Amino acid sequence: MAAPLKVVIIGGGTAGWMSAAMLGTLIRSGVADVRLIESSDIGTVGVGEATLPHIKEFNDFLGLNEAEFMRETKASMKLGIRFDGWGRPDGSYVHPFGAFGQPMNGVEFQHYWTRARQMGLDLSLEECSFAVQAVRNERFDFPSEDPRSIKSTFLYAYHFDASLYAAYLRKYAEAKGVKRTDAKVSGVTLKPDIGFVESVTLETGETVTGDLFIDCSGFRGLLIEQNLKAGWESWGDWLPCDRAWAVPCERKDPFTPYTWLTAREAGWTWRIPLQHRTGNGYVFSSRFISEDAARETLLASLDGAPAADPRLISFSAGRRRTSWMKNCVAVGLASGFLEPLESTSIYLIQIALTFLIQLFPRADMAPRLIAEFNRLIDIEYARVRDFLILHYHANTRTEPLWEYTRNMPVPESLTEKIEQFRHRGHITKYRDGLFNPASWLAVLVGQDILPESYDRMADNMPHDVMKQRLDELTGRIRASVEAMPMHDEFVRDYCYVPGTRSLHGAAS
Amino acid sequence: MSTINRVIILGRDIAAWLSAAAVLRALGRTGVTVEVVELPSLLSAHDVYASLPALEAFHTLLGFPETDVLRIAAGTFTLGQRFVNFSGPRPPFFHGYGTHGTQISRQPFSQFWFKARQAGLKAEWEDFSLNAAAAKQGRFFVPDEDINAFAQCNYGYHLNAVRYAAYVKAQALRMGALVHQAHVFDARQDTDGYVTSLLLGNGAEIAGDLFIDATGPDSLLLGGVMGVEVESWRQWFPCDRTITAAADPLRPLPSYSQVRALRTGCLHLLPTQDMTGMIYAFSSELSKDDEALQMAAVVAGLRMRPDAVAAVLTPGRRIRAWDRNVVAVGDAACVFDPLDNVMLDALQLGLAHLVTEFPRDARQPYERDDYNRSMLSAFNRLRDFQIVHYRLNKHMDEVFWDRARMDAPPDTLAYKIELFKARGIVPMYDDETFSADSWMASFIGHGLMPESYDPLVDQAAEPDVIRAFQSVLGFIRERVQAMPSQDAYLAQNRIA
Repeated sequence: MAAPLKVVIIGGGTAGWMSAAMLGTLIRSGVADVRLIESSDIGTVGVGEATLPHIKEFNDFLGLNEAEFMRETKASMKLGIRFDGWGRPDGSYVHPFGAFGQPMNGVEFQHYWTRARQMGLDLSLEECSFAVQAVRNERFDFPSEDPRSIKSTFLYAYHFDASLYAAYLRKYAEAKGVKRTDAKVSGVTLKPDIGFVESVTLETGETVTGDLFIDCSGFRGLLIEQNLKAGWESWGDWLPCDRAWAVPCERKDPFTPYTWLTAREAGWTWRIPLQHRTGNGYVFSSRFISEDAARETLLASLDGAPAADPRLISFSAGRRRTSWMKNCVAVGLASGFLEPLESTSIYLIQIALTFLIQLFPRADMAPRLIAEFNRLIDIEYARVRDFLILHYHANTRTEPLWEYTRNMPVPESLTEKIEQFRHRGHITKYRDGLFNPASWLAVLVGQDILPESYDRMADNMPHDVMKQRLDELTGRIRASVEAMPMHDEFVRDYCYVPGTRSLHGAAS
Repeated sequence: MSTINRVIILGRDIAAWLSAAAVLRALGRTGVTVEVVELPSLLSAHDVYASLPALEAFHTLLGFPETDVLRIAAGTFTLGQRFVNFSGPRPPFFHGYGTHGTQISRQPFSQFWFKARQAGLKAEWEDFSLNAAAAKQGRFFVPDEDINAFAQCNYGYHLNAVRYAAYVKAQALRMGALVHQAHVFDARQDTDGYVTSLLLGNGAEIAGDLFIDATGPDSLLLGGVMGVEVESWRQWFPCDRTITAAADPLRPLPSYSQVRALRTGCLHLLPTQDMTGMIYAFSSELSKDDEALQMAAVVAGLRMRPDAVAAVLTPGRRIRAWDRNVVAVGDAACVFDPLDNVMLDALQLGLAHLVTEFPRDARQPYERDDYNRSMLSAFNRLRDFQIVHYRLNKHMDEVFWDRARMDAPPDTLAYKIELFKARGIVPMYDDETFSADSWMASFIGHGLMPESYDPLVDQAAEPDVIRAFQSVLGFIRERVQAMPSQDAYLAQNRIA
């Protein structure tokens, strides 16, 4: 067995501590030795308070207790995202973590839905999804493990306080043996011949060497960009938002089991309920609105008193041309930025770490492993990018930002996806990368792209049989949703932090 | 929009009849009709169709009971393929249709095996495959719950081709397919080049909306009429000719197919209940037909029945499987080398895609473009899998094999080989037919071993790993002992 691989993580924050926790699991067995360097003088961005269901796999890998994790991070449950004012100014749809109906006789559900609609049946797609109905009724319960139950047709994620999550993972990582140093990095030394990162020098004068460096330094990319010059690919033409105001406010009802995103004149606002406060923000394009006006819009939209001054974050959409170069892997914002419209920030950290673990290098940094990591992570970023662009592109709003995004040329991969769906409701499934056909279905239909026809095999089912099965489906969904606890009751029973919040507004 | 109701299939043998059955089964109740313009069969009494595991599910969709198919087509079950003489002094190896070993502390079994081999372990990769172990002892099994908890195990079939095609034809006719016999045909096209009808030798005119070319390697409609060209794969596939023959059935019946590397090509043995099908694919530059047949018979140790059939083999893919309103399936879309028994699978893939993307309007490009994209990538992935056997051969100092080893593989395959060499993992792309386990069985079988294993396996304690290995081997030994032979299984299930 080889000597432990010396891993040095640059930067705390969500990416840094998620990396430390995951790689910390390799310490006890002697596979790796992990050190994290962060400076308490440098703030973290703390985006990504809303997550995707994959986070559960990450927590399970670490062996975290769910209720404890939720208490520690003041978390709430999440069944999906509600989009108001997207597509049409008066529209509202939900992108759930769940299925719409189920395939019948080998034919995807959306074809029956299209057929029913074309026959004049008054049936919204939302009525056919258990998860959407739970969202609309603000209810939550764990999914059933019985695959025959309608309650098995969804997954869930969380809203949590990202800085508390980082702190929680810090405790975990330190217990696993990760060594933390509180200092600023003042210099970086590359090996002259091969260009690997040899060491970082700290303000304290200490020099820290390593075999593998994880760059979690945020947008600036201290190692990956400032030293290794990976290069930046801008996606700003497709995703024109470049600023966000963020502000927490007092928790008010409803305590939603969903992330609530509202399209605005020059971007969109988020509302994320935590146990102790509600997180809010306005992601906007500085080309289309001034910072001051955006701030006013955000403050006027709050449903509780602001709990702090709004904080301005600047960014640009895009990513590093290479995420893993030499002996340095960029994770999180150092690797790329995509606005949190589909709660992908923490997922993109997690998937990079998952690939890193699957392709865990030895000190020689085999180039084939690096190439495979980059191939896989490229696919992930491109999938998310296309999906986000769809939200901007398919709209009938009249403000200049929305007119711009409606008329801009979009990636060909997205155009094909849209046209294929519009023509016949077909959604091609791909092996790698985020967003299964159900997610595409939710957003395409939500943004008013409706299929003009459907899979002909759906015609095999007699009309009355189809109608009966659709009635049964919506009936089962309604009955099961009514029997679920309200989300606030569920959280109170499961992982309530006494004394820090009240589920009905006033402090207890 | 003009609705597509009249599907005309031009072709013969299994491609034509499986197409008819698949379209009728999927769409027959929605007003789609099928007429088959049947050309004279190209099959001989020696032909055997060897399937991969996916055919079982396809039969289920089509409503073909397994016992009927096997009884009528004198079929046998196959748990995998045995490769002989590809790797110099190394013993034959198995590509079993299933997984190997079980995960140990959430890490893939393969990585533990690589580490153990580096430390001197003797047990071969295939020793950890239930399929391979059962096949080597002539046993057969259908996985039960215990086995499913341990591994994924699948099986394919060997089928008498004439009898299987006749069975599927009878089913298609029962489902309502109309048939016209023809020796020659003409196609009538409109000004945009869309086919409107086929004119038969007897003066009949068969009009349709969508035409399926199931004519075999000649690709008479897609290639001949529509003029869609072939992308030749000659640079990767050195065999340009086949001899097909048959001998009496083997006793006891093997539950695998076998391919053996000879001096000028590859010899395939495919056992059914009523014969042992033999295909020798070879280079005509290096062997004459009669020499080739003689060599194959001697090496196989079989007395060949008379009337062996020789044919040209031209591996390659039509650059579009679907052009205007003509869709080619099977050999008419892509001709494969006989290696790995992929022919039926490629046909099935085309049909499965066609019925799920059955066009609403043949003038619109959406289904066509998507179909062509999927088939291109699916065919290329099958091709890559086959090339492995040529590329990684260790038959030194034989012109045929030395040349095959030198040819630069496609980038997609080169990438797979290089990553496997570095770490023992197989990158998987969209539209793969073969699983990562199959790729690994082939790579390892051909003697390709990774330079390093995943350091994460060092986390597991040695005694735990040894226990896990022993438990896998013990489970396999115990289960295989309890399995019936292929002959006994066929008799018990009233197939033989």
